[in-house]
Amino acid sequence: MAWIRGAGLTAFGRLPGRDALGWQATAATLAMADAGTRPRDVDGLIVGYATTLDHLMPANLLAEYLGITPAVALGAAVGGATGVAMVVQAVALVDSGAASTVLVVAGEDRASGQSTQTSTATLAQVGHRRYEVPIGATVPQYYALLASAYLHEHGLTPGDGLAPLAVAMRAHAARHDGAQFRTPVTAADVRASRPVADPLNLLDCCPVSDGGAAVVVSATAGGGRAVEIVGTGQAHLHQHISEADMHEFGARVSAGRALARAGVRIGEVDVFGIYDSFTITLALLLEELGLARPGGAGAAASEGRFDLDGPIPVNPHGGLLSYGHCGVGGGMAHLVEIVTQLRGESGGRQVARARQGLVHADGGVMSAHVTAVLRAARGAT
Amino acid sequence: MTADWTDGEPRIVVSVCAACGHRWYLRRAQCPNCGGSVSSTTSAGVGTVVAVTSGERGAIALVDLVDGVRVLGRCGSSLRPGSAVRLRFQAGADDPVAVPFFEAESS
Repeated sequence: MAWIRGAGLTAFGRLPGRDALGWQATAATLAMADAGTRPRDVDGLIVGYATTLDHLMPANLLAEYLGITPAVALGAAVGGATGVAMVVQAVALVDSGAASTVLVVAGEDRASGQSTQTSTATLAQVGHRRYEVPIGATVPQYYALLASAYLHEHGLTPGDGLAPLAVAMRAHAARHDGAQFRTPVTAADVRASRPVADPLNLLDCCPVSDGGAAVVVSATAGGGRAVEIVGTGQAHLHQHISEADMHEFGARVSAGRALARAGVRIGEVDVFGIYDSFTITLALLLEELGLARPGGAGAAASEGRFDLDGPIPVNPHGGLLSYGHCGVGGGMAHLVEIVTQLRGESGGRQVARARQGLVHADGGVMSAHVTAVLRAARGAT
Repeated sequence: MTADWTDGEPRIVVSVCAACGHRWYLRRAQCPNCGGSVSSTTSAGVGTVVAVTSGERGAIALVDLVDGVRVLGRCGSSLRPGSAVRLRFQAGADDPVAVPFFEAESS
């Protein structure tokens, strides 16, 4: 397998002043500096799509901007799973010998580079162009449909089934300077927030943010701060909600593949980065991954099971719900956070004895699933 | 292909594989299960709500039709998961064609 030699994560928020390329370059520079890698050392470059850029060749664009002349360059688009999927491809490039030092980058001015209406309309295109988009559903509405089915199946209310997950993510974000939202909230606050798509309210939904994230994946560890990628897996079982199996979206299959390759049982994982575009996303993923019983994610959050000092620490940076969501970089932020945790460099939000981590992302409407299992270098933490 | 509501004909067409019997809604030139050839049938328009939401752009529902496919459509605001529904078609001011609209079976 391969090693994450360096990681970079900007603050997220409504932060005008950079365009998508600017956020990508900022994150890439942070990651290269962290890894001690110079632009001319990079022989593989993978860059995620940015909706505000809408460019055919995002990796070539960034390569030229940064003065990188890689042997391999490609753009990637798997929705919210893109960040972790790019790292999985970087591992494949390194394992195959096609490249030895792969820079993986995401960044976008998703909040300040376009109107909310434009952002909503662009994201809604994950629906079926012929049979779903004309109905007029938005991404929050697609996830609200999943929430409606979930709450009905388990006899839950939004207040007990979903809101506690938003509360937990906000509590974590309060300990990270870079998070977009750091003021603690209660389940009552979540239920009192503005309705977005019944049963989801504003605080059940991630914000739209500006920001960027990047990592350097290498064939060699190069020092004690490196984090090994010990297993990766994916599952792509449907694209559209009309054809989704609501009890097997793909998370279990994807994580199962990654854990098997790593030779790790999920109970041996110390810290988790789980995609959380909405509270329902996090509930469904936690349950399909086996980290909560069916219908029990909200109750588990209320009991503190996903807290930093709980048995299953989830998203210590605050996740998409509170750190923020700048598109591909939002899904990569979980990965950067788990790398930081496994290095023992998370300061006031450090999870004790974090040796192994798991990152899982989904794209579309629970469509694309990608998992990575990470392990701290020997002697770290 | 049999024309359906997306072509301006107010009906839902269910595709059926001639070889394996698989049924689906999203138009394809061949069966996604076995690659077999496609025949089609018109839905009776009767089903059960799987999920419902109401947002800034109106209420929508995911409905399991008795024909064996799951369909996204607009709906009235009183529906709940488990509600029995019947299909009709309705065009809003911005719609080029009438789209599926589900209403309670009893109404």
